[in-house]
Amino acid sequence: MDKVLVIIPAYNEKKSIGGVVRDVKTSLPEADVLVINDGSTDDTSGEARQYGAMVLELPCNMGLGVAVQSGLIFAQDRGYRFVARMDGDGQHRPTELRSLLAPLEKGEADMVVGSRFLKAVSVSELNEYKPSLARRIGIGLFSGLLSFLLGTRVTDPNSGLHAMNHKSISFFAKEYPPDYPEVEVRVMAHKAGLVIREIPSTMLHRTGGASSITSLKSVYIVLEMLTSTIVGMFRRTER
Amino acid sequence: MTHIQILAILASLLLMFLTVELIRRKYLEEKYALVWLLTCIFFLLCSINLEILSFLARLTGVLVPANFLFLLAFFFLVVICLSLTVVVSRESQRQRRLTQELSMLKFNLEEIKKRVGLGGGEGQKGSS
Ligand SMILES: Nc1nc2c(ncn2[C@@H]2O[C@H](COP(=O)(O)OP(=O)(O)O)[C@@H](O)[C@H]2O)c(=O)[nH]1
Ligand SMILES: [Mg+2]
Repeated sequence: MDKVLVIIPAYNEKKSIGGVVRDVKTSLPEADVLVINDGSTDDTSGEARQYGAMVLELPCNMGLGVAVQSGLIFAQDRGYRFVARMDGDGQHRPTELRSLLAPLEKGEADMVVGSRFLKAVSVSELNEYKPSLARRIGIGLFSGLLSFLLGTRVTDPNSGLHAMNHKSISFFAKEYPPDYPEVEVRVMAHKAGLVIREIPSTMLHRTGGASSITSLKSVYIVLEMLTSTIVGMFRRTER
Repeated sequence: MTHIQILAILASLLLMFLTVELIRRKYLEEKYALVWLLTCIFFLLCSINLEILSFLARLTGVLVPANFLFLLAFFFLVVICLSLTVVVSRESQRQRRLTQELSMLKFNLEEIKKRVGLGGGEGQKGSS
């Protein structure tokens, strides 16, 4: 099989990162795992290494998008064919990585996104994630907006479960939105002519630590994402 | 000369002194310093010769010369703020690139160290 890199951006995820790395290694033994420690103040790096991950360390907290982009630069540098990206907090299920990569391997898509809102998967997890009302409103807003702007159905604009082929990797290694990147990534991919495919996925509750997104901050985040989405539509992208 | 005029001249001189001092100590780069120096000179001229302000006010149709000054100051500050955020944005973009580059270098270095048996590799660091 082709070289696959699983990148996991992590900020203060000492409690959960070890388990996530271990589970990825079990589900996808042929893949390499790269944890990008974004200036954590806890021992996220040590924990990740102990479970066999490679660790890229950013000297200070630079934001999720910067961490993801670092992983993509790493992948490009070392000639990985596919990259899968998942959260370090244990909310994404490593068992879904294989189905995430499948459309890339078949050449059916350049980028695959795990959507929490596409049904079809047997949802029997007791632990299944239910977004708060505020989040559901935010997600609804952006899926409506993106579906309208991009002219295709976007069910989960905020998903952080992604897989990319070489075309997407080299595109996003060059430029990736630094903060709250998910929505803008969809716009950029669309404008660059990348073929995006959403597949059903499930999300679990956090196993430890706290979400980085607090309610007060979320209003600002929504406005910021709204701006970047709309501005992004008018930005020039070289293909 | 009125008291306020003397005060204005002193304030302008103080600002100019401060700017020059900041440039001298390299706290302020020349390219940004120029704007401030020109501002100081403008302030100084305005406080020495009050006619300048009245003339400019008449020219633009502002009734009270002081209001013209406020308008100018406000506009100037907005432009400065905007250009500052542009500078900050550019700097953070550069900072991001540097951080990413640094993390890659560090990773490669650790890898090489481990390979030549220099110790201090990731494995050891992780378990300590
Ligand atoms: N690199 C980086 N990753 C972050 C940062 N904040 C959160 N993350 C990671 O992004 C993922 C999702 O973050 P989380 O706080 O759980 O967001 P939520 O799942 O939407 O509530 C996790 O893997 C976090 O470790 C950050 O500042 N930098
Ligand atoms: Mg999470």
